[in-house]
Amino acid sequence: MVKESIVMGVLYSVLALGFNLVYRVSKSINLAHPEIALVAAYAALVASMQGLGFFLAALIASFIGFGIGILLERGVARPLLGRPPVALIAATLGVFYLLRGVAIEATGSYWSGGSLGDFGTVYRIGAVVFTGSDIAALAVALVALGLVIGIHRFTRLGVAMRAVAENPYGAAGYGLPVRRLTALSWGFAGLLGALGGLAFGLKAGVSPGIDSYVLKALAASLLAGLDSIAGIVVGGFVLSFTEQFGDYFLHNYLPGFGEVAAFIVMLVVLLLKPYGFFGTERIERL
Amino acid sequence: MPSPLLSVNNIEVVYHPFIMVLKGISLRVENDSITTILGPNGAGKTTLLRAVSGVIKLYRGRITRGSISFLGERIENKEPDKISRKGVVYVAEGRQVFRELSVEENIEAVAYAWGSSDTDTVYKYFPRLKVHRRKRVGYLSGGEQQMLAIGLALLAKPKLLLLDEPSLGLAPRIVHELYEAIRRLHEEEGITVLLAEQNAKKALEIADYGYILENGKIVLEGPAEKLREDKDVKEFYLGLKPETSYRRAKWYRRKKRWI
Ligand SMILES: Nc1ncnc2c1ncn2[C@@H]1O[C@H](COP(=O)(O)OP(=O)(O)OP(=O)(O)O)[C@@H](O)[C@H]1O
Ligand SMILES: [Mg+2]
Repeated sequence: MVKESIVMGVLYSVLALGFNLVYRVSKSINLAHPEIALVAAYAALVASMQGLGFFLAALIASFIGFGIGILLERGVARPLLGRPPVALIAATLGVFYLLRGVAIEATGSYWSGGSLGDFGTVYRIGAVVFTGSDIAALAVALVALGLVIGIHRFTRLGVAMRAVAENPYGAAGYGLPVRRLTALSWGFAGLLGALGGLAFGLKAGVSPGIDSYVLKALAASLLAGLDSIAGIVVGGFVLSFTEQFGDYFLHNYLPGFGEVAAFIVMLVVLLLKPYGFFGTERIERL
Repeated sequence: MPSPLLSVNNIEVVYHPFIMVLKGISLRVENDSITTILGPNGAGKTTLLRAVSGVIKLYRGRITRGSISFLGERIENKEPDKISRKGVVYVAEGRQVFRELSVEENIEAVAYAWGSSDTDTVYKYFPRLKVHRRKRVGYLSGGEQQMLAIGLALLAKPKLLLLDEPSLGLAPRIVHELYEAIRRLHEEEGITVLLAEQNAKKALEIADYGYILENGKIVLEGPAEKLREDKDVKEFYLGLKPETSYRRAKWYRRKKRWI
């Protein structure tokens, strides 16, 4: 159960960060995010079934996720700039079904799902036992998190992306390529979706229901605060531990608590702390 | 007459969907000058600077008539990053800094667009920023934030610096300090400045030439020393007759213009 909480915590963090990156630049929620994960996971599945090997499959999934992210910015977010956030939410919901439809058509007989490979061995770290697929999933997820957080934290590009997210109008005056950096944020969000989807696929196999986990990750986003990067891991872990331990202690009274825990968390956060625990308390000085 | 650095020719600017804010404006900014645009709230000063810098695009606005030339090249309705690459850099109104980043990170972020971070120039003109370089910008004073905003523009090595109400909401002493820095930037770095202000007194002190913008139209223009002596400007912008009510002043002006 601890193991499950840890693995799920990291996976949720990866997926949740995808929601946050989009929110930071477009002030809206990308409801197509779960289907980016699904499409990428299936792409990896088909690729590995064709015998392309895991790394190539992961690379393909990454490109697809990144590409869909960029396309969404270009085709959906940019034309809706300046409209109320609801417009973008609704539009991405449309893309959700579009991507799902495409996935069903394109995968054909693979739609029923499958395994991304055998990582059989069992690893022990202290009292916690990890399976090989847990480790593979964790590795993919940690690489994704490390890459995106590292870029934001330590590179000039990342600092520029943070600046544009905070104040695109000011940034444009100083010559920062606001549109390109906004698109890049969407691209990274897509990449996180893809690698998160891949990680779920590694952990539990690829299946048509894989996207429901991604939607749950939205609870971790809200917990952290939709515009937070640093808080995301805490959000992911709070969510996963709530699910696992909540289910353990409550399943006699509230059967299926684990299934709905994420949505209860969302509701509670929205009611009590709409900006999350790490969301910006804007420092205003007028 | 030598061709000006910037010339704005009879432009109309419209925000989405049909809000026309500038109704046929022409102005010139001579090379190596400080030119100022004065006018009351809502006159369209900011809109004009947004149009020149291309930032108007982010506000879903566009230039629907006329043209803007910089160094003889047409720049109207171009992308803001393209325009800034030609040397036109815009410090928007309201202290456009990145509050959640430190001073150093603010500089890093803008340096991303320009390859180099010439922090020395920034700190040379605004030495206080160096003291606070590790501090989150949200915690700086308003004056320091405005200094940083201008400092960030310097990283772009501007030929033409567009400044939008740098004095807004700052104490007179800080305004004085800022204007001193602007004057030095103009003299020592050879930067041409187009300055939008409501603080006509301050602006006319350092400007060579001025335009007065009201309700989307230019109603008066002239060399700064002429504007300083102009009866209307004295009365309505320099506030030398505080007993005149705004309403009466407006009425008086309208009457005067129509007769
Ligand atoms: N994004 C926008 N969409 C629609 N109308 C706008 C927009 N921005 C400004 N306006 C309108 O354009 C007019 C001119 O505004 P602008 O900000 O250019 O004036 P200003 O001279 O800079 O005023 P201030 O001195 O208050 O800064 C105002 O009536 C304003 O309501
Ligand atoms: Mg203004």
